[in-house]
Order: sequence, then C-alpha cells, then structure tokens
Amino acid sequence: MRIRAILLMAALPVFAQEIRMPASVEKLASKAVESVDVMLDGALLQLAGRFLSGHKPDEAKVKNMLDGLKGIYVRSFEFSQEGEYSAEDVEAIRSQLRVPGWSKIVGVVSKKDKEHTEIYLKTEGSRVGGLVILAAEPKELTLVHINGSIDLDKLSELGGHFGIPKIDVEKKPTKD
Amino acid sequence: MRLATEMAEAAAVEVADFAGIVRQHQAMVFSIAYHFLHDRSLAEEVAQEVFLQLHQRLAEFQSMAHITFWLRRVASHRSIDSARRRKLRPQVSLEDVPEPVTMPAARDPMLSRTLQRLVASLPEKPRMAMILRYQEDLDPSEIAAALDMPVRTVKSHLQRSLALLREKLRRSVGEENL
Amino acid sequence: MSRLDDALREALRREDPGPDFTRAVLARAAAARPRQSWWRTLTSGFRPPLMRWAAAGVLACALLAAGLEYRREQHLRAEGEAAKQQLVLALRIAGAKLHVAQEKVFERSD
Repeated sequence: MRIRAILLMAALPVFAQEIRMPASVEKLASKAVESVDVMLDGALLQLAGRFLSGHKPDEAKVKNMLDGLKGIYVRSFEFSQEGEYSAEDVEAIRSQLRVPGWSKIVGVVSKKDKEHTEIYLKTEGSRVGGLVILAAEPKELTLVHINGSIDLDKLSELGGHFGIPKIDVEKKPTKD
Repeated sequence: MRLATEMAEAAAVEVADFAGIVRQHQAMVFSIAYHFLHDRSLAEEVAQEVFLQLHQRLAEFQSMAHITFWLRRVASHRSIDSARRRKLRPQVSLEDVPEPVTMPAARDPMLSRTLQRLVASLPEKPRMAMILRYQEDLDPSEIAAALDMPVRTVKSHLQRSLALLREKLRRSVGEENL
Repeated sequence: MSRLDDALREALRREDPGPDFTRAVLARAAAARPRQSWWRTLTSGFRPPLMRWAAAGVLACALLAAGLEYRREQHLRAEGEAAKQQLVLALRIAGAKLHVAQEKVFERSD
C-alpha cells in the first residue's frame, strides 16, 4: 500500500495499547552509543502544546496535530556495530502487533541495506487510532508509537519543518 | 547580611551576563545553523543546545572574544553533526531553484532566496565555510580555526563554491550581472 | 569585490530568532542549574535581634510564598519547554522513518 493511501484516511480515538521494546532489547541500552527515549502521555502532550506558539506556522501545525493524541512514545537505539540485536528481538516487538485492530500496511525489506521498515495502523472501522513504525537497521533499532486519534493529513503537513523530511504524496519515483 | 548580599549579587551578575550573552550572540548562532540546515525549527534547537553548553562552561571563559570564537566554532560543528545525524540531505536540489524573472539589483529578495537555497545545497564543509565567510566575514585562517581544517582547504572550498554558484546563477541570470 | 560577494553577504546576513528564543534558552538553563535555595542565600548572613523575630517571621513567610510561586512558574516553564523539545524530536524521528519507507516503496514501483 502506498503512503498516499495512508494519508487520506480519517481519524477517531481508540483505546490505548502499550507497545514496548522487549526487555531483551532494553538490556542493550548500555551498549548503545546513542539512545532516544521519549514518553509523552496525554498530560505532557498538553503541556508541550501550551508552549507551542500558535503564531509560528511550524509550531501551529504541530499544535493542531495534537488534538486527539493520547501519547507519543519513541524508543531508539544506535549501536557502534552490527549484530547487537537479533531477529528474535524484532519478532518480539511484532508479536505485540498481531492482535485485533492492528494491521501492517507497509513492510519494506532492503537486502542491500539490510533494513526492515514496517508501519502498522490501529483501526476501528475506517478510522485510525494508532500508528506504529518499526525500523530495524544494521546498527539502529527504532520503535515509534503514536497513540490516539491521528490525522495523517496533518502528520504529512509537518514534512519540511523541524527537520522532518517532506513526505511528498505526489512524488514521482526517481533513481539516484 | 553582607555575605548574603554579595552571594545574591554574584548569582545575579552571572545570570545577567548569560542572558546578555545570549541576546548579543543569538542572531549569530541561530543564523549559522539556519543558513546551514535551511530549517528554522531545527536551527533553533541547535542554537539552544549551543547556548546550554555555553551555560555549563561559562566559568571557563576569560573574555567576550573567547566566547564569540567558541560560539561560532561550536555552532558550526553542531550544525554539521545535526545534519549528519538526521541523515538530512539538502532539502533543495539546484534544479529546483526558480529562475529570477527580473535583473538582480543590489538588494533583490528573489536573488537572496536563490542564493540561500544554492548555499544550502553545497556539501557540508564548503557550505559552512561559505557561511562563515559571508555571514560572519571571517578570513580563511579564522574559518580554518573554527572548522579544524587547513587554510588551503578552506580557500579551495570557497573558490570552488563560488565558481559553482556563479555558474548556476549565470544560467539563470546572465553573465553581465555577476 | 564582485556583485556576487555583495549578494551573498545580503543573502547570508544574520537573522535574529526573537525574544521567544531567548526566553526558551534561559528557561532551559534555569532548569539545568543545580538548585540552590535562594532563601538560604539571602539569609545566610542574617542575625536579627531577638525582639524582632516576629516581624522577621512574617516577612519570611511572605517572601517564601512569593519565592515558591516564582520557582513553580520557572519549573513549569522548564518542563513545558523540555516536553516541547521531546515532541519535536519524536515527530522528527517518526517523519524520518516514514520518509525512508516511502522512498523504498517508490523505488520498488519503478
């Protein structure tokens, strides 16, 4: 499924579900040269929203997107060498998403780059209530969980701001 | 009471100094990051981190000149690191640069925007060398000190970048205007 | 000096990020500073005569309340700025991974 189809879907709040890094991967935190741990629940999201300026276009877009979100969680590890986590570790994350409501809508494997990127959506009927991105690279493992009512149109509008790459809905495929 | 007053005054002086330093240098630090990253929010974040790092080390500095040199150097390196860590490619390619419809004047907003985009599309080290040269008016030896590279390399980056910019603009604007 | 040099200086002139930026930096710096009781700083050299303890006590309470409120505001501001930075970081990472996925999908469609 193309990203374009994802971006056209509407949004509705759904009950929360925690998607976590497995304990086996959390233990690797000490080996990571860099790690990111973002845990923004509803209260912190609201607090962050208060400090976003409605007068600055960039920040106004983010502020607008926060309506309906219940939480944003990011856990990412960057290692100095390959092989610090295993296929079983990645499978332990995936198994949390094989429950009713969650569907994998993008799964990309690059054998050349040894990268796996998977995108899951939580839906209730035709509406989106959660987004998970699982990115497994040779030296980096990242899990992003956005919980709540996600307006994917608004998420795509953030592209080109805050260092977020532009997700071009109408982009023509190009070769380097 | 005198000891308490002196302590309060010392803390107030430190705070005032830091606030004053931020106000005095924020345009420089932010602009280095912005012209390099071409992303306002990312540039603000990088600039904030630079000042926070300064705040932690404020006692080490002997003079304002030392602070200015340090801020330029750290802003440059953090901007480069920020772009690399996020695996950012420049947001523009030279082919996306619009052609000016009028002849460029001394203060031509369209030409300025075009040049900003062209500079933002240069490779990292030449890009930062150009920013330090034209934003900060540093000479090649000062740029070399800030970026930890030989003076000869700085000069080469500047010459080649200028040649590239001149060629790109010549295609759009015309040779007589450069 | 060529016109290109002038044009580059104009294009790359400094731009001030504004007072919001200054406030954000100072708030984060205040949050990062080791906490020192400002009350202790103020009174460390104070030795009031015995008969003025009552007045000093009332003043102390009023100053303490004002100080606590000020610190609460500062703390909230610092927390808010930190939460905002975390939010932007999270969105940046999510956007980067979505972008990678999109690029791979488009590569496959060639």
